[in-house]
Amino acid sequence: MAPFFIIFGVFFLFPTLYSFYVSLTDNKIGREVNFIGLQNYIRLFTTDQHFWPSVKNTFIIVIFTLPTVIVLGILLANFLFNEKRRGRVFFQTANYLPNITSPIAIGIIFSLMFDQKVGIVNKILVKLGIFEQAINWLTAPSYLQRTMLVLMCIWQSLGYYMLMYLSAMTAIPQDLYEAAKVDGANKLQILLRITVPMLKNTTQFLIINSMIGLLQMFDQPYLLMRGLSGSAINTIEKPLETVMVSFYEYSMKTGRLGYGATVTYGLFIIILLCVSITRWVISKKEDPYD
Amino acid sequence: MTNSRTKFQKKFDGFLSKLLLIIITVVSLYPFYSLLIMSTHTNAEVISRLNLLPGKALLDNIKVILKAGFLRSYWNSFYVAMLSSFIRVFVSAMAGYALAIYRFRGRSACATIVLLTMMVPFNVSLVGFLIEMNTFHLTGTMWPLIISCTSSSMGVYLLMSTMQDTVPLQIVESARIDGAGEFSIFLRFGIPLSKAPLTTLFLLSFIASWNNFMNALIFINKREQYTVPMAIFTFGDQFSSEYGARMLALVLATFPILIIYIFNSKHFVSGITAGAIKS
Repeated sequence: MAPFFIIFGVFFLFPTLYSFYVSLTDNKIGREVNFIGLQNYIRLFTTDQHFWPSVKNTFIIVIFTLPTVIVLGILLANFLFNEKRRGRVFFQTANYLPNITSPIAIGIIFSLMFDQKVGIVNKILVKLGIFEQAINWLTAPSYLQRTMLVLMCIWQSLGYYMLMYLSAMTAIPQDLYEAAKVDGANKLQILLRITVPMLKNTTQFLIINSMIGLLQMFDQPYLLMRGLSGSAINTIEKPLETVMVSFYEYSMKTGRLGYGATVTYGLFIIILLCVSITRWVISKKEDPYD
Repeated sequence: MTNSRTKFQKKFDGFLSKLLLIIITVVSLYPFYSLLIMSTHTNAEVISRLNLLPGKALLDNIKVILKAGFLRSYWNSFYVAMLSSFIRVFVSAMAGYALAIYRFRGRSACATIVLLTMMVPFNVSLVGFLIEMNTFHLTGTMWPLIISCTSSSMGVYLLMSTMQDTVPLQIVESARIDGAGEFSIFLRFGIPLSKAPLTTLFLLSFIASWNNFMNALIFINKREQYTVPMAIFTFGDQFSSEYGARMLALVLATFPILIIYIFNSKHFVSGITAGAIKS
């Protein structure tokens, strides 16, 4: 017991609190440190030209990714639930693979798949007549770049949602389904009236946890932005720049540790707000008469 | 008539859902296939056309990544992942065991701290951790990577909630009567009885550490200390045009994870879903 709390205290609790102190200073590598109070925070929330755009970028990704994977996750889990055992294990294993693959591999494979010259995505879109010719996704309009990242996030996390929902579905009492069938409910009604409400706890857990994770997204957008060649592309608008990417680019790379700590705390505040609002909305829905 | 129609309908529904599942699975697996294929092609082939069948450049690509010192990075990643997972599992097991078995003053306070800090992302402590590592003169070594993985409270939570069920109090009591020390009870009963959750935690930590990119980017700056993600990331600096070899490096980076996962998917499923069911 004690060793954990020592390690935990020294290497997590202390740095967390110390980061807060650092965020109140103008700490920069190789320079004298001064205490400057809330100045960093004021700058972050008012004049910083990278922070709010990066928050917006991150939110857009979350807003498009989360509902898609939840709906698709429930649907696929529902299909899988009706499969035979062997098929179920195969589909589950195969679809969960993207989730444990290293983000760096995913970043590079997707850069390749979306590449202008050799990417399969361009090839298919041109063949289907959606695009007239292959495009460079990294210099394309913002919405296309965002689509690319959202698709990548969905691809990576869908298996996880499927797995979570599938294991939650096995816990639903079977007699509920039997009763509904006797009453003549069709498949869609069963799905919407029984399965989805019974999965409520899992959905809550998934929404809150994924929100925390997605808001801190770094690896995937960072790698995608750099494309197949691995060198950063300079465009004026950076629709893939999430908060953590901007934290790394503008604070860590330049050694501005004090301001960097402020960015992480700023993000933490935003995460806490989002989680509290979500919790509040969920509890409101649960007891409408409270 | 209606009977045969519903039968047909049922078959059609089953076919449709299966078709959708197959399409999704193909989409899930295609990138892996593509990676595998690309790793057998020369650079010119990778960047000039879409390849769907294996090429002949596998041996050349192997030579290139060996020359790039990829084996060294492979060893580094393995070493960091093994050591950090081992420390994490052991330390979390002690804390989880204590919180599950002993009734002491401040127990609920400790449990609350564990629960609350699970919500605090590691990134919030990152800058403080970096400065701390600087003052301990540990930057430029592998230790920041190893330590940063060990202090997560998720493992403690997982073990705390499972050890309550896996370790019966009577066994602990009777071992005490036989005069066994508390620590040896923990080693002789606590750990063997909780093999399944400990394995799960070990595997999850191993993969998290193996895949960790951001910490490596921040803490590691010498080539001989690069972990696999860093080696692949910087591969472009060294051999800017060797895409085929780079794909091979990615295949090798993904391979251990696939093997671990395929042979232990049961442990994964239980570990991944454990958090949600309790909450």
